Parts: sequence; C-alpha cells; structure tokens
Amino acid sequence: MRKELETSEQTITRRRLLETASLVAGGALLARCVPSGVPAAGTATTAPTAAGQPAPTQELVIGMSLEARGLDPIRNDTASQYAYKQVFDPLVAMDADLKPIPHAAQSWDISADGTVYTFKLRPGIKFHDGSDLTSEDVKFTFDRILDPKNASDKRTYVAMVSNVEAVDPLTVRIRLNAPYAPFIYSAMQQIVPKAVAERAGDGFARKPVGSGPFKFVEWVPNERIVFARNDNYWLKRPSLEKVTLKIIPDSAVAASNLLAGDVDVIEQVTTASFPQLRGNPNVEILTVASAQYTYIGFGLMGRAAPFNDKRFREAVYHAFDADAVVQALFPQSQIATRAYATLPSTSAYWPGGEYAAVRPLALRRDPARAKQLFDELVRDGVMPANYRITFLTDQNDARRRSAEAVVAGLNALGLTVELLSLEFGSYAGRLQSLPTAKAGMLYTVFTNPAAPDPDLSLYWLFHSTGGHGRFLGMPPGTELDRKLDQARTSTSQTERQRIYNEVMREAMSNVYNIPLFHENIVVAYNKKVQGLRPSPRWDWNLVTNSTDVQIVTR
Amino acid sequence: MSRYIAQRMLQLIPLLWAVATLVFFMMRLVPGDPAVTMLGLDSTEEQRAAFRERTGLGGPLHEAYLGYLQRLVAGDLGRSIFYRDDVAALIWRTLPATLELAVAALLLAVALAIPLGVLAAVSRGGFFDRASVLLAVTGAAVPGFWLGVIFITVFAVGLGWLPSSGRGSPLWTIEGLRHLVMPAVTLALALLASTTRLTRSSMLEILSDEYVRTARAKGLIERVVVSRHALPNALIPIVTNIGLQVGALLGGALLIETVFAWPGLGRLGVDAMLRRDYPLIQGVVLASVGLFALTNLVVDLLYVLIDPRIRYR
Repeated sequence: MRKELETSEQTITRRRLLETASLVAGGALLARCVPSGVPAAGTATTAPTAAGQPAPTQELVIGMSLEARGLDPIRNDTASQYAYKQVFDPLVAMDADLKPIPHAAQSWDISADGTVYTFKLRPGIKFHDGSDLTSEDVKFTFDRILDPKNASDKRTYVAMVSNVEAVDPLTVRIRLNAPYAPFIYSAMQQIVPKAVAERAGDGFARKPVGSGPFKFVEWVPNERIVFARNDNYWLKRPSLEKVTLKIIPDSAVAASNLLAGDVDVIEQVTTASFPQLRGNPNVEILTVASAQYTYIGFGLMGRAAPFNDKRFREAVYHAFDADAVVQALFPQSQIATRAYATLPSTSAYWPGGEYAAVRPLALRRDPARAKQLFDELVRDGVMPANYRITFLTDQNDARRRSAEAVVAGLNALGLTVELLSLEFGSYAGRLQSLPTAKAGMLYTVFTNPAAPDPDLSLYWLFHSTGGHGRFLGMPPGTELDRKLDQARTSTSQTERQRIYNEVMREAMSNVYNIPLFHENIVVAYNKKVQGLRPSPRWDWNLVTNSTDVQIVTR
Repeated sequence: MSRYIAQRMLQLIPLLWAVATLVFFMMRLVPGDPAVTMLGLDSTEEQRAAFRERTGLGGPLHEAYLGYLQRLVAGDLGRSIFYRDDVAALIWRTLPATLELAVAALLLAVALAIPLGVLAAVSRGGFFDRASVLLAVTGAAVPGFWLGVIFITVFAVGLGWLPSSGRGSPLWTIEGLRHLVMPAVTLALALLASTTRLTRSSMLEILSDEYVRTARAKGLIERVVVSRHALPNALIPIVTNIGLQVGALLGGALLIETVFAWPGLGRLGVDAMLRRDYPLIQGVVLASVGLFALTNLVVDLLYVLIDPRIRYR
C-alpha cells in the first residue's frame, strides 16, 4: 500500500506540528538555562557565645492567617497593621496597661478646653533613608488621613481634627473642632516620611519606608513579607536580624507549621488546635485579653414590636443558657471568655467601671419565665401567637452555633425562628438593610473597638448614628444619645466615668443586647522566642520601650 | 497551521466577552456590599461613601459596564479594590505558582495513571486490575483536604523531611521542589482516578479490536502489541480527559492551595469573591476561562501528534 503524503502548506500534519513544537520547546529550554538569583532559605550568621556554643540565628518567622492589604499606615485592617507596624514609629505609643506613653513624641500637653494638643518630638529620629523625622512628616501623616481624596478607612478616628500645624521642626499642634476625650488614642498614628511618600505615590504601600525597628525587604504576594533590622533604630538596636510574616490561611496548618519548626509564632489558635499545642513541650501559649465583643442584637428595637418591648428581650435572654453555650464553644477559656456586660471587666477599657454592679444584671436560663413573658406579650397584643422571627448570622463557627442554641431554645417555647446563616458578604448586606426594614430580627454580630476607651464601644453600639447603633432603629436625640455625646466631649474623667456607668446599667438592665463572649488574642510560640508580649491593638510589639524579642538557645 | 491557530484564538474573543459580561452583571446581583465586606461592619457610612467614591462603585450600572469593556479592550483589567494593585499584575504573579502545581500534579497523575490503567486492562479481572481500580477510587474518595493535613502531620511535623506549607522558592530550586512535593502528590492522587479508569476502559475496548488480533497473529510479543499498537489508539479520549483536568486545574486547586498555603489562582479568586473585590473577581474568571480555552487548543493540536489521520485546515 502506498501512502499519499500531503504536503500542502495549509494543513497541519503531524510532521509540521512536531517541527514547530520542537523549535518552541528548544527555545524555552534555552531560556530556562539562564540561572536566576534565588535567595537561600536563610543565612545563618552566628558568633560563638562565651559558653562556646554558637549563638542562635536571630530570625523570627510569624504565621499570619490574613495577608496585609498594603503596608501604608493609611490602611486600617488588622492584618496590615500587624505588618506595617514593624516599619514605622507611632507618634504616641501604648504601654502594657494600654495607657498612652511617649514615643516619637517625647511629651505633649492638652489645652484646658481639650481642643488643642501640642506634641514635642524627640530629636534625632531618622527614617530608613537617612532623612530626619520632623513635624512636617507628622503633619503630612495626619493630613493624608484626613484628605477625602485618599479615602482612608482611618478617617473617622481623626475626623474631629480641624487643623494640624508644624509649629517648628520638633513641635506639632493639632486642633480639634470639639473636645474629644479619647483623642490621644487617635494620635497614635504611624509617622510617614513626607518626601518619600509623595514621590512614591501608590507604590508606597508596596515599598514602605519608615523610622521603625525594621526595614522593609520584600513582599511575595500571598506568601510572605520580610523585614530586616534597622541597625540605626533610635530606641535601641533590635536583637532580631530578620522578621518574616508568613501567610498561612488555615489554623490547623498553622499549628502544624509551628510544631514542625517552620514558623516560630502563630496568631490563630483555635479550640481545635489548642490541645495539641498545649501538650507540646516546645510550645508556649499566650493570651492577650481583648475587648472584642460578640453579642446577639435586637434589630429595630427602637420601633418594631415586639423587639421594642423589654419583656420580649428578657424572654429571649431567658430562653437559652449562655454560660453553657460559651463553655461548649470554648472549653479552653483562654480563647474566649463569657461576656456578662458590653465592656469587659478590665479597667483599661472602662476606667472606673462598676463591673461588679452591672454583672448581676445578666440573665440566666429560665424557660418557665420566658414562656410566661411570651404569653404576656401575646395576651397584650404586642406579639402574635406563633410568631415568626428571623435570626441572622454569618458562617463563623462560634457565632453560628450560638445562634443555633438560641433558635433551639426559642423553638422549644413555641416560637418559629428561621435561622439565616449566610456567607459574610451577604450577611453584612442584610444587616445593612436593617435601618430601612419593616420588621425587626435577631442577629449575631461582633465589634472590636479601635481604642481602649469606652466611647469607641458604647457610642458604636448604642448611639443612634453609631455603626451598630443604627441597626437598633432608635430615634435620634434620645436621652441615651445625649449622654453618649456628652461623655465623648467631656474633659472631666470623673464625669465620663459616671456617664458610662449609667449607660452600662441602662443597657444591661433593659437588655439592649445579649452579651455572649469576648474573643481573646491567643498566640502560640516556640519557647526559643523570648520576650514576646503582643498588644491587643494588633501590634507584635517586637521592639518597644520594654520589649526586645530575641531567639534564645534552649 | 498558524491560520488554524489564529482562527481558534479569534474564536476566543466572543467567548471572553460573553464571560466578562456574565460575571460583571451576576456579581452585582449577589447580595453583599463591597464597602462593608472590605471595611467591616464597624465602618461608618462616611467611610463607605468615601470607599465607593475611590473605587468607582457608586455610579450607574451601564456606565460602569461600558467603562469596564472599554478598558478591557485596551488590555486594562482594572485595579483590585482590596490590594489596590493592578489586577493583571496580581494574576501574573500567581501564575507561576498555579502552573507549577497544575503541571507537577498532572505529570505525576499521568505517569501513574496510564501505566496503571494499561496494566488493569491487560490483566483484566486479575490482581492488577483490582488493585489499580482500588488505588484510583481511594484517591478520588479520600478528601484532598484531609489527606493533605495527614501528609503534613507525617512528613513535616513527624519526620521533618519536608516543609509544612507555602511555596518557598520557584520550581527550579531544591527549596521549591521540596515545597512542591506534598501539594503535587495530594492533588495528583485526586486526579488519578478518572484517568486510570478511562485508560482502562479505553484500552479494554481497543484490545478487543480486529487489528490487535491481527498484530498478535503476526507474531508480535504482547508488550509490543499493547504499547505500540493498542495504546496510541486508546490515547485520544485520555488526552481529552487530561486536557479538561488541566483546564480546571489552571483555575486553581482551591482546597489544596488552602491546606498548603500555596499562593495560587484558586485562593486569589475565592478570597476576592468573599470580599466582593469585583475587578479582581472579573480578572480571575477571565484568566481562568482564557487558560482553559488555550489548554483545549493545545489538546486539539496534540490530537494531530497522536493520530496521523487527523489534520486541520
């Protein structure tokens, strides 16, 4: 048999294809042969100690569950904060008790009417490019947050600033348009070098330059961010040579990484991974109490029946056992602690707080009482019999399971509760539509106050214009609104304490929401890491006045 | 030949346009406000308004759509709201990792599956048949997530032979290869099943064909009959299947990427979706579709290689 060979130019035949393919492959191979400069896993520069043993490599690897969005301090999300705080210095810092202490500003004074803050800068602080940190940089830092063009998420926290003035190279004066008691916390901004940031524009977020203990080295997206020691750091020479933030989204994998020695610190310890980590002799677990507050809210409690009836809210609280639920969700109480009031008992968040007086206002499980209250409400025509309620939650495990417990309790009492467990984006959308909705609903939600001051929690939660307060559908100008406004602008610490105690008592005795738990920051680390004391305000605090994290031999 | 390829590439354009339009409108139908998902529930209306202003999410829909199309034609995929970085650059940066994992897993799977499938068909009903089917089905049934964590626990934590997660370095370094091993093996096991079974059934069909009987009658040894006469003919459906798998893989292997913290397209896309990062979602979907179409083109060209009877005009 003779085969006809087609050699037409148009057709793709096997021969033609092979010829082309080998040409392409050959070219690609040649290109591959060019060696690429690949960084080695880590340089180990050690010097022998007096004992004759080599000193351990001063490199710290931290496993993060979320990636920073940008390394520009104009960003507010927690992952970015954990990252960029290595590179910058704040104007004012916080000590272990969350009190403001000098940092880049070595002193400050506040005018008697509380509207003028004058900061004196420490001389001799230099940015990583060698230039001096002056009042112009501080002014630039605040101005850019305030500039609506930059649309910074931090703008709300400094919105009360009317003017920032660079009086002289080491003095900055900030004027507020009304007294704002927690302002010193808003002043804790990371100082950005004006010249570098202006030149770099948007690129600054990818290649930050600051004055902090570490310099930015590289950022491999979705993988790691690397920092190296700033040898000329004004506060002290950091012990650590290199810090790497490694992104590990899954908590079980993070725990494995820690146990395998691939990371030294992880910040996501869950109920599931806790026992394994706790049992390991090389691992230490550290809890940082936080004011994160998870609760059950009553949507449109300002105007929609029966949510506006205190008996209804009490009945819902009585319908389930909050203690048991939290205990079941978090058998290791280090991960989260039951909240009995909106603010935790630690004085940092509620100076002069009467926690002991407010704590007993938390209600216990009492289905009989709940039934009685529901019956009363039906009888009085506030609530129809067989009432249908919607309970909205997102898919976070703890919040969803808390919701399920409440739903079970309410269904057992004859109500019909529809549980809507939605993915976060959709859940947030539903919540956002509450102020204009017709009917109220129950929902789980959490808040994490941006500063250790009761204003940041209570204003958010209960003021008619507050971020969460809006969901309550309360009319503006109530007594509660007035009190919160007054406490915010008051310059008297005693007056503020008094008002906040009143607000707390009112909120708890009227069951404005049902407190569930405070989620702490739980960090697990290899015992060779010494001196780690992270802040609850999203800062690893590697090098501060009182810390200097280092690796030690064990 | 270049005309055929050019034609195929041109056909891509209406496909990409249709996908882009579909994604654009469907995403905006999904409940959830990007301003809230990105800024958090604790954000104020003022912050959200500023956010919408900055990201251009505020305006009328048809304007946004036309603007999007205009930029797309010019090759601009927009800027990610979350990363505030160019979408094309973000995707480009994840491609090496995605390709590495996809190709490595695929090569491993194919290298295992085809011999296994052939052995199974040849020994029909015998030990190898049952064993290979068992292996393949186990690989498909066992959840990749679970298997991945087991691997990490044994090889990284227990034995310390391999790094527990991440990519480390590019493929052509020892460090990179060490990081690639576990994710690639885990993913390969999942792919194994369908390819093995397909090889087996395809071979079974071929082995009962007339020309195979002829080859045996000619006196050729069994090994040559199977490998040089039967297998090449069985390859067409197998290559199709592999092509489809590659196409899917290039969209990213989400579970594996999550378990091993592998910086691939899957995680990038899903994270973008959960955050409602519209430009990035659009970019990732378009990239996945484009890659899938390209893979299909390569597969079609491979047919020519395998079967000399096939040719394109």
